[in-house]
Amino acid sequence: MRKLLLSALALAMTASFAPGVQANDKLMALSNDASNWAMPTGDYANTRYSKLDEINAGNVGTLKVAWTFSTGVLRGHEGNPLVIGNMMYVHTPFPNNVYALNLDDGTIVWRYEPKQDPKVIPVMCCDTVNRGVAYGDGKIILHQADTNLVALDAKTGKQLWKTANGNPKIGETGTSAPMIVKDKVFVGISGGEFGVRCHVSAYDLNSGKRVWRGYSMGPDSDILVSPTKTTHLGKPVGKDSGTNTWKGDQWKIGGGCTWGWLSYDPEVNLIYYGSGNPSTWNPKQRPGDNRWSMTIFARDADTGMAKWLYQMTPHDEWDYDGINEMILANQKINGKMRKILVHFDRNGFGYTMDRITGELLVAEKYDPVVNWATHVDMKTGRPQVVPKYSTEHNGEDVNSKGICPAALGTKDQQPAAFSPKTGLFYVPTNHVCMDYEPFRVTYTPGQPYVGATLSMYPPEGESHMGNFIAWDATKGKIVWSNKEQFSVWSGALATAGGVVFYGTLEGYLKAVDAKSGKELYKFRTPSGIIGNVMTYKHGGKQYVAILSGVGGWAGIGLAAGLTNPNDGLGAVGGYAALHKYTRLGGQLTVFSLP
Amino acid sequence: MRVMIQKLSGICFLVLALSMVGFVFAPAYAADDEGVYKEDGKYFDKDDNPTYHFDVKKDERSGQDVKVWDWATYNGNRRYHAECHVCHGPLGLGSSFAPALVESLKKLSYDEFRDVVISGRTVSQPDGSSNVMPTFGNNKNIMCYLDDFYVYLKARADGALGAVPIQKMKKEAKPQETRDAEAECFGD
Repeated sequence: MRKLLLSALALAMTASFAPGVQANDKLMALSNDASNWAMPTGDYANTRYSKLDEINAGNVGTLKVAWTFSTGVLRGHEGNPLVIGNMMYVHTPFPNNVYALNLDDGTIVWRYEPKQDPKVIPVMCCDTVNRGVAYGDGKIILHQADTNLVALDAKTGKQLWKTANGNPKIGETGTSAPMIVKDKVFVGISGGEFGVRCHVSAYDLNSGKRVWRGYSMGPDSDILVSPTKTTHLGKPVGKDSGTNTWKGDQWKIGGGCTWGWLSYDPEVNLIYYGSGNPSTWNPKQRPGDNRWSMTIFARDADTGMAKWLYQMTPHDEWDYDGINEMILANQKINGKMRKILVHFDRNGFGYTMDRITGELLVAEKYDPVVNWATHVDMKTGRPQVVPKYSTEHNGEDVNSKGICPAALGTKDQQPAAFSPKTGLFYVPTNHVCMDYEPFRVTYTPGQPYVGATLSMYPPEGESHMGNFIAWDATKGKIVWSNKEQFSVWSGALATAGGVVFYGTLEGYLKAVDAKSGKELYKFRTPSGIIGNVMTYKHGGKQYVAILSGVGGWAGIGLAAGLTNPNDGLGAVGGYAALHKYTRLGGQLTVFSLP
Repeated sequence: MRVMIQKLSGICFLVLALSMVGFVFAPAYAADDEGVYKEDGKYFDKDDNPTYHFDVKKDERSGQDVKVWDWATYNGNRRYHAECHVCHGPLGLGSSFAPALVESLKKLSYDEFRDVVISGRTVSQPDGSSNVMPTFGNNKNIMCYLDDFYVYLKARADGALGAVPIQKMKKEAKPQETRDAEAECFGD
């Protein structure tokens, strides 16, 4: 008996030194070394901030192209490459090729080219994008379009394991970048326009075996909430919170997809992410608040159990997906240091929350044209909806006009950056309004379940469709704002050099002064940019890299009618406008000082 | 299937009416000079294929002539931009995934159009990849409005309907027959 106990103890001790746990420490160390860009988001806090300062506000104007790399794939290139040591890992849209590049000699060390059924393409909502790969414990993890989660040996590209995270036959697809914490891989899923019930799942990094799955809606055991311990704005959510705001069984096709970025706070062991729109886009067909679509989730990384939730847009009527990234920072609010979570939602409100307790601290519009709600009630957390812009109120077959923002949101997935040096958030935004007409649809597995059509255009009296802004999240105020002709659909990068980088849909990489927003540099890359800017150091030199390759919803959206409403050409005006500047094409452009 | 029944019933009714009466007869669904006639709130051409229709009216404010479209063409436009435009591009203009239907519908017959939508097809590309048109035969959001998609795209292909966004399209009110057909098709 004693022997057995001892061996059990030994086993327990070994377990605590399992490779996964080391991988976490190692990954944190890799991410803390600014030479690397070891996670899709740069760091667990999703700041997209780099301590590198060789390129600074004084010399960024002399930036030159150091080298370029063609991905060989067309369509929308979202996300960014990773750099770990002397290796760079570049991903592509469908068919989701991965290239491992040796930065010492520029060679392609290995390439992974999965064979995926092209039937998955028509079930991808908004282009065949992929937001990048994750690295951990010597593995590259890829979430393919067909939802296969694949682990590759980072040295050789050899497939180590593969597991299906979903089923494309019912409209489930993979577009998001995974995140690795300790011995687990976390990944969400796409399919909100196909009536998928979405979830975030944790897989064992070494075997690919699923450890937990938390759905966005459904019974308590599916959504991993405790009726008494999980809170919504400080109050327990109660029993059946994931089903009792839905009509009948509608939660089974409820959407709430999870295709955005993931963040993690190691101090409290919580992961953070947002859930998307409820299915269908026709609000009349799904009465109720539709919990927990449009919700910020804080879940325990080990068990998946939700600590707190906050639903931003109850009963969505505009497709304001809540999936945008959660940026973790520590800032002073009303004289008190707070551990905050900052989120720029599609619905046009910038939220600042206490990330430990889930308390709502700030909720303000980050584009003055936002008009669908007057404000967020800070006690109930509910947006105060303006009836004129309520597609529920106006009803089916009625064209609700002049709603700001458009369904693209004031910001979509393109992630913002946070500089601890300036204390400001740098946010790529859309400046677009819409007409929205809901109509009746019925659900068929694997078939589109949209139920609305919309036209998008710049706000009345304006001609630009994007802004790049600096935001003070402690007050909920815009500090400076730069106009952009098109939506800024590129993730930002802030650096210790006092420079902020972003890309534009015409294809420019731009550098602006972090304090003033003054443009310091721009370079025209071969195609429109919807990727995220990253930076790394190699051979003692700082580099800045960006994926070009226009597409994504921005590409479709622009094509679909983002135009001057007074332009008689209607949609074609917008279509022509973007195509005056750029064509499809996938390329990585890497910059350095001369 | 319902489409076929409607087409057949249209023909039968005309034949019946003619054989019964045998002299000049002006029913509510009388065909125009080109043989286009209206039945159950929708328009059909002389070959009994669905077609688009518009009336030209003077806009009271601008004094200009504007086209007022039938409900089916309008509905085809808005539902196209929910179901199809992600692959086939806005306004039927195409994308790298799928052909421009404003071009395809210049050649494709109504029956060919129906077959492709219902059964789908896979087209191999020179680079070895494949373009896939899914099977929509079991999707009521498509099948209940198959004719509407067709007449919208036909209007675009013929140049009768320009690049007009949905909100700028003047249209007739949704006919009661259309509401009834919708309810029946959805199985209410």
